[in-house]
Amino acid sequence: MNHKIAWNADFSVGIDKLDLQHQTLFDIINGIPEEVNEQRVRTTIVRLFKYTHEHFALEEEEMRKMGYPRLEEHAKIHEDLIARLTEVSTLPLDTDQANQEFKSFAIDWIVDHIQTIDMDYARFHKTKEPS
Amino acid sequence: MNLRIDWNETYSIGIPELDAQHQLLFNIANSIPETVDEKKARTCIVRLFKYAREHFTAEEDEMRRVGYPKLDEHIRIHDALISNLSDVAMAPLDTEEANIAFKKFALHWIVDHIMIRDKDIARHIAQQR
Repeated sequence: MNHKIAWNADFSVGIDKLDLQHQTLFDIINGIPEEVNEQRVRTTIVRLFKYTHEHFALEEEEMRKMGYPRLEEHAKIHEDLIARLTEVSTLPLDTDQANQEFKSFAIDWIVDHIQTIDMDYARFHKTKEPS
Repeated sequence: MNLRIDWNETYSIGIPELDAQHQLLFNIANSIPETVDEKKARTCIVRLFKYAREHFTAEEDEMRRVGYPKLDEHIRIHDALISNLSDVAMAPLDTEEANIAFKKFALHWIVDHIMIRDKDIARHIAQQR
């Protein structure tokens, strides 16, 4: 099995720096091992947490700057996403299957984040752009 | 070796919610294994990230509420702390020495954050009263 998610234009939120960060997050998630490898899984998870933190922080700063009305709601969704990632990242990863499930979760997790939160912000952002 | 730092009054910044979060961060850092145990190390690191983030968010909200003038600087310091933690958490943990070094780093990381950064917020709040 080789789970992979490739970024394409369907994932674009129309804001270059956010799109770039999403691509980095995809690359990190694609690097999650599909067989037992505790050390590699740890470093991958650490990178995922680090870039997710940076990404959410940038997004929230951008939303604050643009006066996005659902900022608080979205900040709460970000917290939930981190909580879910934490929960799954602390499960035992002592079988190949557990690693593959973790990777599938991470892929769904990032897609869900882009398609729900970010697409809503993207629509708002578009209305604010000077035409 | 059994490294640990227990929270005590000298670490208090006088804001009960933030003090409780600091205690939790100490507890997590105290549980970092001093022997090679990748699975346990991973769990501690993940929890450290989650609670550090929650804590920083709560702190930033509090700073915004009290009109702390160095908010932006403090947010940048929080980001740098997450970045430092990430760098160290990615190092190989395949010897006892490496685990102990990581644990020392994590404990100092929390103490540094509380004693230097957070005490400054406490002073600001005290002056406002």
